[in-house]
Amino acid sequence: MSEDFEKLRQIVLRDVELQRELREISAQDEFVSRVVAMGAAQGLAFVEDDVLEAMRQNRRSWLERWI
Amino acid sequence: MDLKIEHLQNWSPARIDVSSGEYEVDWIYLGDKRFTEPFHDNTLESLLRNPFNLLFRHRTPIACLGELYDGSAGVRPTGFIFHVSRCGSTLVSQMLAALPRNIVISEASVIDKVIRADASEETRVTWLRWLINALGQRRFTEERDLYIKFDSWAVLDLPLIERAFPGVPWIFMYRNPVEVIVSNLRQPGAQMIPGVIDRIHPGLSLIDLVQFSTEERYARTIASFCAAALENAENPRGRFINYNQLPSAVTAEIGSHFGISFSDEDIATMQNSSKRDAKAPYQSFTPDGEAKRNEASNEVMFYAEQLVEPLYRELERIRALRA
Repeated sequence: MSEDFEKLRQIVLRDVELQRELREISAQDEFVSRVVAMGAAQGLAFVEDDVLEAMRQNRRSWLERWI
Repeated sequence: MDLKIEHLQNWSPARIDVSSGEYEVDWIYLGDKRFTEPFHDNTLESLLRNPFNLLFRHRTPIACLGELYDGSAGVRPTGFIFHVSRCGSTLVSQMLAALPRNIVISEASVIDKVIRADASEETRVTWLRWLINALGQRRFTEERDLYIKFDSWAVLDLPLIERAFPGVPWIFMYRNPVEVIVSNLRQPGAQMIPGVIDRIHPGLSLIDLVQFSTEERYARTIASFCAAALENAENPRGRFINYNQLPSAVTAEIGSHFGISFSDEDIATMQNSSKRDAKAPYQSFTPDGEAKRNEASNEVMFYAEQLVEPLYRELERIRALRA
């Protein structure tokens, strides 16, 4: 996972306002764009593919109960 | 990240992860979502439709549950539900979940992972207390009762669970064994898959288990759960409930055993929920015992009679004594 994306993740997890803003977006495309924009605003460089890959990995790990 | 307990407000433990070699907890944001789906996994799936939840989770050492336990008391457990599976236990949990004052956690994998963790019994007792405290955090002022429906194999760990929560009343739910076997033949539960839950069949290897016919293996599994319940038959905190007592037993025998009384409005709300199929709430619930018995093969009947019926009759005998 991109180092800059991980930094953004940690910033969001400490900031309830950023969390609230992102939770209100239900459309995936819009959400991914907003996450990238949020990262850029923090001087962090990662692309939409980084976000999508993280979501794919998380989807898989969340639902693998028996592993 | 320097995580504080306040960062976890409205977040809930969703998964235990051991990939780092240590036990860690993945938390998911619940917000104002109640646990009203048939199973805890269904609630997680629903939450994961929000892209935020798919992308963002807190991951903490399991000790963080302990910090929350020390700093934020959740609703204390009101009652526990153990069961053989396919016996109306989801109907019971759904009826209870229909009331906003109830927090109902149904077959949560986080609970299963902690109960079966590779750790001492002392540690598992502590972790279980911490975890259920976290799952039972009060998010709405009306929440006052907490019910945990465990996975079917958790009855094998009933003594450990009692150590963690002495004094909490529990029920063990069961059903005509032929009907339970047929239900699992239609759609096997995880407990029926050889090797998934090793301790259901102590002394039998995976090779041994696959030698049995499916019908025999299912009967042995159900027998294992019934035997475990019967080992706790003298326990005054326990009560046996047969599927054929449902749905009225929820507001009568079960409510009474849990020390809970229901208003007429509560009963109407719960009865309304009982009309829906508990596992598929968009469908109507219809009792299907006769259909399942008619579907049973001679092999199902044979193994049910040989391996489970004696235990079933004993459960019924004890249930009648306590009625």
